[in-house]
Amino acid sequence: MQPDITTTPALEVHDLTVAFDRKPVLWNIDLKLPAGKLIGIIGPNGAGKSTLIKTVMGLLPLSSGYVRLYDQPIDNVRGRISYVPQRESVDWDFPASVMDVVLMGRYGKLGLFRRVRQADRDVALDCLRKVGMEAYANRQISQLSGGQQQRTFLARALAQQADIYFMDEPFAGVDAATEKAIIGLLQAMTEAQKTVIVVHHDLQSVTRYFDWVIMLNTRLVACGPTETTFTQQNLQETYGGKLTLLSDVGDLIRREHFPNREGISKPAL
Amino acid sequence: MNSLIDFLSLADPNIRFVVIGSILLTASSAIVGTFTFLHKKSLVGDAIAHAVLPGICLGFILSGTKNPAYLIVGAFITGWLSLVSVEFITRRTRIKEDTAIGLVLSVFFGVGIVMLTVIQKSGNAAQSGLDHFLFGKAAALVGEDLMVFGTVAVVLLLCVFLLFKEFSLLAFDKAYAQSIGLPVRRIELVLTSLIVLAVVIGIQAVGVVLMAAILITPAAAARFWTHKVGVMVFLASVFGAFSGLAGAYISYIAPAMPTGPWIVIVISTIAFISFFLAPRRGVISRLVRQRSIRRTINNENVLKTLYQLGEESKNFLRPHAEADILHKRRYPAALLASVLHRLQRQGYVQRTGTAWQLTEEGMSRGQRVVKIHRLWELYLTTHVNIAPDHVHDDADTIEHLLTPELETELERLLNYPRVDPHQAEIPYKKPV
Ligand SMILES: Nc1ncnc2c1ncn2[C@@H]1O[C@H](COP(=O)(O)OP(=O)(O)OP(=O)(O)O)[C@@H](O)[C@H]1O
Ligand SMILES: [Mg+2]
Repeated sequence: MQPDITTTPALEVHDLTVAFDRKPVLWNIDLKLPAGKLIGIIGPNGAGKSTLIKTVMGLLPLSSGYVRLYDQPIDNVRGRISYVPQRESVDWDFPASVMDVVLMGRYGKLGLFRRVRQADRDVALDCLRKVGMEAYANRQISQLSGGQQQRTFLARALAQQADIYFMDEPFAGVDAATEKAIIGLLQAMTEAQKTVIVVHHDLQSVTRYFDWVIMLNTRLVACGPTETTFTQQNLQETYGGKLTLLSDVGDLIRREHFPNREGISKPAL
Repeated sequence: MNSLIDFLSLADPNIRFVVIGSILLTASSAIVGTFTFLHKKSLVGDAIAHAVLPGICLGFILSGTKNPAYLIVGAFITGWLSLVSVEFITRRTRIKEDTAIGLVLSVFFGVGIVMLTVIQKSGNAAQSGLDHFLFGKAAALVGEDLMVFGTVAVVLLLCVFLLFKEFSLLAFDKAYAQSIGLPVRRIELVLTSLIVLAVVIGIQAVGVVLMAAILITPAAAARFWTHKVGVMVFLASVFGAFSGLAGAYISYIAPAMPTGPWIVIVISTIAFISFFLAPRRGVISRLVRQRSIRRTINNENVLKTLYQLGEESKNFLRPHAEADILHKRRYPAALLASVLHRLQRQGYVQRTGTAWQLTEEGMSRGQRVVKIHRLWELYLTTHVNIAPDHVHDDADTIEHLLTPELETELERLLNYPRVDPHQAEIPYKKPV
């Protein structure tokens, strides 16, 4: 089902299962993503898109399988990876300016104990410029609109100067003009061999935006180049009808306290 | 006054210990407390404070002395245990964190009280004074205590200084911190240890019951004044130190007064004042801002009405009786009178007999309001596609709000139109 990738994949996910409170929300995901592509993750609400990204980033425990980036475990390549969480995941009433937040993108490179340097500020300002937010550098984050918050997060991710970017709904609450500008930016990044993986909800724009798509609904429906993968049939399978049987079995596993893999009984989160 | 000078000179070594001790305690708790507050762990601080009591009793029972070293070790252990319990309960059951904290707090504190009672009934002569841990004993601090406090304060400051950016990032966005590979668990471990340490030391001044107040209140007060974590830490420590000093002074001039509770009263007062007075976030400044906005609106509405009356009579400087103004636009009569008097003081209108007329300044301001109102109506109908009969109320607000830059832009965008959607003429610059 998935075309072979000849070079080292940017991301390899093998037989990944993730469960909350014992109930699996992602079943046996297998996928390989090539480097230097703009890749969309699509699927209905609750399909497990955020969960997939968080698990790849090592923020959630896996019930089975493994994840490798550039053929290495994630902890060896943290410096090359960047993550844009969903905007609602933080409290924007925190006492910080836009600049402070973007500078957080430099902390990984700086390491423990070290202070932010002028060079870091320059990079941060540059990234703010790329997302059109340089005028807001000193603005309190509590006074930003939703779209501005999103762009701040994007600038923070850019400031990491990573090789692979995972973005959870970066276009939620962003106006059409900004969305277009950001897509242009992401496309330019992929031309520089960066890999960008974006959770996306607007099916209309998928073929225009993405080189590859991952179609997800608790299990992997399809993963491959957009023109061959983003088909009516796959869409039907991704969005049409809930997989009641799969979900019922998941509930059963939780109720009966079954390990979802024989022999392994990882504690639920 | 003399007492204040005596006190501040710190000549009496006893006073010196109390003052320096109180300041060290309150300032360092406030610094750690700022991060406790930002990490939304305020309740956890309270749980730790209560949970150290059984540890202190246990330390005493096992060692048989009141040597602070044993008691502190005991306190540290049960303080930690309480945190582990809270985390365990929230992770492994469906009980939410606040419930788990309440549970752990009361169980540990209850056990502590039982142990304290048993010790007091046991007739061990050395036990007298253990109950200081309940309400603190700041007034009885001695030189040895200062050494311990000083050391702890230095450790706390050093950790906060070194891990400042990590603590801040973790408080804002923990998942992101984890994603860039920061050792999140270990940093949290350090922070929690600092909280426990601050609590264990702090309860000797203010006691178990009031500890959470000196941990969290300075940070809560500081939050009103700033949007920067660094400034917030600094302000919290200043507030904390001041309350320590004030508490020590009050119990110096009135020896029957306990230091700890007074420290808490002072810091709470500071928080209260911040709540009312702080710029932007404070209640009073918000009220003041609203009041001044309301005044501007009233002023401009009256000027607008006078201007419109002028349009009708083709003479903008003609005097009008209050009744005429009220006839053109409904105001409470008393309000109109007071607004007119204010406008007179400000030089926008003048009085001739019982009637009022616009001054040059009043006329041009009234004209501006009318102009913006009509321009905005036009803008809404032509550019935003809103029906002409729906635009009036919007324009009523915008006319007071628009800045001169936006005003110019609006004029340019619409290309200086002559009439508004209701065919009323749009006035530019000096008519007459
Ligand atoms: N912390 C959690 N505890 C329990 N269940 C969770 C948790 N987070 C997510 N889930 C469940 O996991 C499933 C997948 O959630 P996820 O957030 O990954 O969906 P998503 O595809 O990102 O959806 P959306 O489009 O709404 O963002 C959902 O059924 C959700 O109920
Ligand atoms: Mg999601």
